[in-house]
Amino acid sequence: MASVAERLQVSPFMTFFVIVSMQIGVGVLGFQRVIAKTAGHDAWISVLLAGASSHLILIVLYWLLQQADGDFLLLHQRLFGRWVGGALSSLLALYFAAMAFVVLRTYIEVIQVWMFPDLKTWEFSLAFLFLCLYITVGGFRVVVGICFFCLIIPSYLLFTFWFVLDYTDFYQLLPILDHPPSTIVKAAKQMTLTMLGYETILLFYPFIKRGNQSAKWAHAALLTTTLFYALLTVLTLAYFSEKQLQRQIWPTLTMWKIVELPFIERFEYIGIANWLLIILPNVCLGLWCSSRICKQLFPVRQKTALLVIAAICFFSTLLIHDRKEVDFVNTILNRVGFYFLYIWIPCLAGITYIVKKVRGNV
Amino acid sequence: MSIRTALLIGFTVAILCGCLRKEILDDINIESAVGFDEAGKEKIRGTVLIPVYKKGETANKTLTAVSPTAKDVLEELQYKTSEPLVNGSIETALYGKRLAKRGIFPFVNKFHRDASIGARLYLAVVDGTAERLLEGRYGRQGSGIYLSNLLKQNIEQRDLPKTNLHLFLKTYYADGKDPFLPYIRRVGEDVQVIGVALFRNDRMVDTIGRSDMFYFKIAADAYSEGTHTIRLNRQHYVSIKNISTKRTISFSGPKTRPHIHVHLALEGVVREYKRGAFTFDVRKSVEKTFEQQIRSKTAALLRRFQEKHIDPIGFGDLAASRYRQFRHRDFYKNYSHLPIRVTAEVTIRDTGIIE
Repeated sequence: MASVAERLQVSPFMTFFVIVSMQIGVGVLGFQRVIAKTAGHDAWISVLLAGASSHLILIVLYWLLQQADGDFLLLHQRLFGRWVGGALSSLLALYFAAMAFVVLRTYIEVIQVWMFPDLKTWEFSLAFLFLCLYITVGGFRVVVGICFFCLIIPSYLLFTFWFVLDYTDFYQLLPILDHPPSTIVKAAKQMTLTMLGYETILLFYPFIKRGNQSAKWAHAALLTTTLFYALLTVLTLAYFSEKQLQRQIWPTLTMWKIVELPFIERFEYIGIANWLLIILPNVCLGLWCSSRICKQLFPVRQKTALLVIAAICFFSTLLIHDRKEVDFVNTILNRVGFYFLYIWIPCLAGITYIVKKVRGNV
Repeated sequence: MSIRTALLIGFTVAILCGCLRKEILDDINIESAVGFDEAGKEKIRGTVLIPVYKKGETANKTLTAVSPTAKDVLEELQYKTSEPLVNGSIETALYGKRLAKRGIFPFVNKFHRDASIGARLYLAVVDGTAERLLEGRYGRQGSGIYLSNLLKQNIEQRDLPKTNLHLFLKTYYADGKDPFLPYIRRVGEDVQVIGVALFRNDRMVDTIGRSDMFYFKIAADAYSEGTHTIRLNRQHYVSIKNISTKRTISFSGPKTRPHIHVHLALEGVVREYKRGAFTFDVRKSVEKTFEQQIRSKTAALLRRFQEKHIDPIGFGDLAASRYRQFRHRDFYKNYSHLPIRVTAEVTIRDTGIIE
């Protein structure tokens, strides 16, 4: 068992909050358009399909973690030796850092388009990354605390979709399964980016007390996000007509435009501002995972690694200038995440299984 | 120590982030309604209405500019004001009749793209020009509020079917439904809803008069809360307040040329009946007459839509949800010859607090 002092650990049920808050990020603001483009009004089935497949992957992740006594990086080293294993693990560090950066840059774009066109990327990026550093330096328990609050506080946003119901035509979802199965599966694949986040379990697993008990909470988390996404997709498909949806870059935000309260004329501003809380755990946990890998691989302190990674993230956000580039990095991350979870993880499980048969242990 | 310095820098940056463009209410002109008219070939006249707040009442100011179609006419107006125009609280956008016949999509899409415009923005077509309508002075709270309240009231409690920016765009982009908008006119120092303007794509092709609006609303919107007066015989009228409407549209037969059946079930209460007691027999005959009227008027409306080749009810989209592998093009090829049957069922629930 990887040695993490008990005072640094969290209880198993916290896994739920960490995974849900990591999964819900910027993807939610615009995933509907992408999957509806492929699967039309059957897109909600794709969401359920993507959810089901991520449950399977999660089972594999837990199996792998058990084989390696909770330390995923150790698995890489034992299977591929010090150098190749280390290289693979540093790719993983890069992946988590990229995740933090993509989420942050996409969010900044939303602010620039919807609220403050003259907001400079660097101003927000710098301020936000300092906040994230401040949280992450506090250690994993603080990050988990942020995950908890940043899920609870914005959860009231769910009620705002009540206003949308007035303008929904649910017959638009009929007939069910009118699209060929291949397109539905393809749309499920496009859901990956929105589903991403639960693979962080690979790194924070040692920080959970009685780690093997966390599995049911992790599955509960996946189920929650899947149902939430499915609900949101159903609402979106009923709210927009098909070609209209294709014109929206952020359907979720556009849906907020219909919300009208006696004291708030335009709700999407509240929504976007609140979305900062949803982004915060994404970036914090991304930075934390990345720095944790660095700490284990290289002879550096985690704080130093954090500073370097945050700096890299900061400069990367400056390199992205427009919608096309934001879209591009999102697509890339989506693809990498897909290959990592659905290709690399099953391969790794296969190799582990064979090695275990041959050597007797991993 | 290094962390503390870092935090200090972070704090400074956080404060600096407040240095964005400010919009102080007293220093800006808030547009409350806009209008677009045709001004000769390839030219557009844009009008904005700005409320001027004074003690006790609100005055109105209108600004007008003409620009070539391709250019943004509202931007042109910025040259005419000392304070910047802000469009975040536009509640009504009006389109002159002649422009509406030419196509209004470019002037709607502008609002669609703009993040600061709400989806509940009311759109309406003006009989005459939008400019003349906006120049009038209506209500004490300013013309902008007057116009949006007029439309809101007529949608929520009268016979105007639900419309706004979102619904216009939804039906504009839908393959199986055509948009419609309120049709209004300036009458002296008032504005009146005179009907509904029907569109094919973004061009106005027909209008429905006020007497047919009730039948249009129950067919298109499936919900109406208006009061409707029907004529029993020569001298006798009865006023019925509509409580609930249920619309059922069913299709049968092949998907390229289905038989359409529209069933309208209404429930209402008697508002006014001048001649003696409202007995069971009278009730039955009122229900019968009302049913008969709904049947004939709605059927006539639907036939008119078929002749004009427009589908504001959305038969195409409804059919698409009933048939697998539905093709809108095949459906609309035969649309004008499809047999549409209308049936109605009226229930009068109460007679008010007297019998």
